[in-house]
Parts: sequence; C-alpha cells; structure tokens
Amino acid sequence: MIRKIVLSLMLMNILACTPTQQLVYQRTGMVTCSTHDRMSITLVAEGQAETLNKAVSFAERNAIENLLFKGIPKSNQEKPLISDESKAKVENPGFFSSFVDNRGFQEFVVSSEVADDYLSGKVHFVKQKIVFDLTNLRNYLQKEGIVKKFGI
Amino acid sequence: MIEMINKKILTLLLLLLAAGTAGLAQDEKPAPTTIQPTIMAIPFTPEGRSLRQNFERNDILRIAITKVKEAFDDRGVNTIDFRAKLKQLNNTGALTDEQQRSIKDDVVALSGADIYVEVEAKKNHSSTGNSVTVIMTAYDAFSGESLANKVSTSPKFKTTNFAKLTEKAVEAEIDNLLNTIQEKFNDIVENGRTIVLNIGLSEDADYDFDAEVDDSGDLLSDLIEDWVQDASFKNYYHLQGVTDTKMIFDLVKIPLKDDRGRSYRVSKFGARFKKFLKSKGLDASRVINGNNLVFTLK
Repeated sequence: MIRKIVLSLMLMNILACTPTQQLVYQRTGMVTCSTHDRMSITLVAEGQAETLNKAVSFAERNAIENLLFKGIPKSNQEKPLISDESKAKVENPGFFSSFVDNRGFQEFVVSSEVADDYLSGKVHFVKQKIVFDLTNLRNYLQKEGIVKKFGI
Repeated sequence: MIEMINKKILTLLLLLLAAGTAGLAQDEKPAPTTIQPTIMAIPFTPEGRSLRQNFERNDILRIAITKVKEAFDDRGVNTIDFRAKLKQLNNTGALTDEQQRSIKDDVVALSGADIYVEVEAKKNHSSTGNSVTVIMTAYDAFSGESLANKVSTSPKFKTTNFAKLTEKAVEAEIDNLLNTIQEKFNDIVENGRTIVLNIGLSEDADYDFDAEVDDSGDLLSDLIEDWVQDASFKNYYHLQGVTDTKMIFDLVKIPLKDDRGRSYRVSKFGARFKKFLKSKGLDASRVINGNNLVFTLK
C-alpha cells in the first residue's frame, strides 16, 4: 500500500514538473505601419510565446516576413519586397535560412522596443515597435540577387 | 625531416589552390542584369490647353514635378529633366501656337524616356489646415500603355509651405508607384509585350480575306490567324474582329528579347509577317506607330 502511495506521489511529481507546451512561430497578418519615410519604415508587429523574449523574437520575425513577402497596407511598402515567396525560397534556400530563420535581418533593425505586453495564462502577448532601415535592406536584397533592381 | 617539410608545403599549396578555385567558383556567379529604364515626369495638361503655359504658370505643378524627379533620383532611377527637354525643343524648332498640342508627344519622343509620369497637383485649403493632392500616372512611352497610377494627399498642416506638403504627398506613394511599375515589368518579362496588328486591303486588291491563296483550302484569314498564333509569345493573341476586308488583332504578345538575347522590336515581328505574306504570294505595305503595326495588302 505504502509502495503504491509512493509511486503515485512520484508520478504526480513528474507530471507537475512537465514544462508548459512550447509555442511555435506562426506568421500572422498582425503587422501595421506606424510611420515611414524615404529611408526607413516603422512597423508594429504582434507575437505570442511563453516568454517575453521569445514573443519579441516572434513579433520581429513576423514583421520582416510581412515586409518581405506580403507587403504592409497603408504604407510605402504596400507591395512585398519579394513578389514570389515560394519561387524565391526554392531558388535561394540558404539565404532565407540565414536571413529569416537565423535572424540575419537584425542587421537592418534600427530599433526594436516593446510597445505593449500582457500575460494571459502563461502566454505573453506583445506588440513590438520595430524600425527597419529600408534603403539598406533593399540594397542588400538586390546585392544578394534576391530582388531585382528597378527595371526589366 | 626535409621530406616531411616538403609534404607539408605541398599540402599547404594544394589547400591554397583549392581555396582559390572555390573563390573563383563563387565569383563566377553572374550578377542578375537589369536594363534600367529612364523616366521623365511631365505635367498633366487637360485637352486643348498649352503644356508649356500650364507648366510655366502653375507653381505647385512645377514643385510637384521637381519633387517626383527628386524622389526617383533618390532611389537610383535614371531620370530625364522635363524643363531641360522643353527648352531643348524650343531651341531646335520654332514652335507655333498651333503646334502646342503636340508638344507632349514631341517632348516624350525627343527625350528618349522609356516611361513618362504625368503629374497633377492641387492645393487644398481648409480651416483645419492645408494639404496637397498629387496624382501620378506612369505610361510606357513606347506603347502609351498605362503602367501605374497613384493618388496621394499630404497630411493637413497649418502652413503655407506647399513645397513641403507636396514632398510629403509624393514621398507617401512614390515607392508604391515604382513597385507597381516593377510588377508590370515583371509581367512583360514573363508574358511579353503587347502590340496591335491591323491588316487591311488596298482598294485595288483583287482578293479578300475569304480568298484561298494556297493549296491548303484554308481561307486567307485562317492562314493569317494560324501564323499569328504560332508567332505570338506563348501563343497568346486576341482577334478583335475579322471581315472580308479587315482583320484586327487588338492584342498580340511579342517577347522582350529574341533567342540570342537581343531586343525584339515590333519591326522584327512586322518583317516576319511580311515574309509570311510573301511566301503566300502576297505583297503588302507596312506602317509602324509605337506598338501599332498596320499592314495593307496590295
């Protein structure tokens, strides 16, 4: 009997120590333009994760992916920088792995600050305000052959 | 000992050679070539009004044109200065008032611009502040086809600095205008350029499009349509209408470049069509106007 109680307690202990489910990154359309000028664009992107840092990271990735592949409504970048996402990814798999997945895009983040953060259950919901150096980002993509220069 | 050192040197040399070859291989990756078109911003002028007077007497329009040109320049796009071309036109030929209406065509033709952007600007006054609305419409100078258009209004400010307001209105949409033009370019690369093919019969022709001109038993109109289908880019064409004396193809796609990477001009398509007609024993005269190709069978 005592043995059964001890086993039950051990099992409960193990279950209690199981970490909360890891949230994975998912692109959403929750990215808006705050301001823009000739050189830069300020975006407010949303992200959610079990830690603040991870939620911020997801929000930043959401912002760059929307800028690259989807375009930002009511901004100077209504059209995406890369017109055909799947074609670009097939042709340049290494580039996107390094630039997006491994956060190479951070080189073009001028500033990034948490505009809003609230905790619901164990999940952080953040709104991140990110300023991108648009001119240099575009030049870099052109140099890497990911986007063409203006022209035919 | 010496043998060991020699081996090490040899290995080092081999490694250096391999690294050098790898570097060369990386350098060999050709950079994507892009033909950069030239753009000229010109004033929008309503029908019947003088383009020159419109430009010279409308200060906000002059500001807008300058700001549009500046915005293109800032983005590394090749631009042509409208004012300079207007001046050049004035110097090269004595323009009379009757010629005013055609100045736009002349300036565009003389400039060598691939694209021209018609700019319209309007001041908006209100008790809550002033603003400027700018309308920009981009056209392919070659075909006259509209490429993109954007309307942009600056935020309202309690200021009379309309130059700044114009700049704000232009800056808000210039990237979107360029991006839309680029989309059109991508479409041209993918699907070809559009030309219009008009075929008619001269008055003294003793046959019509319902005639049989070879042994196949097909009518002339069918033979022509088959040829156009084969010759058009990705077999994409549209026959607007056919009568016994006229055939109008309002859309024929031609490639941007030929198989050897050289520009494929309308004249080349025209020459091929003329050869086809000749092979059927037909003679024809040809007129090319922009992207319009007019053939008159004799």
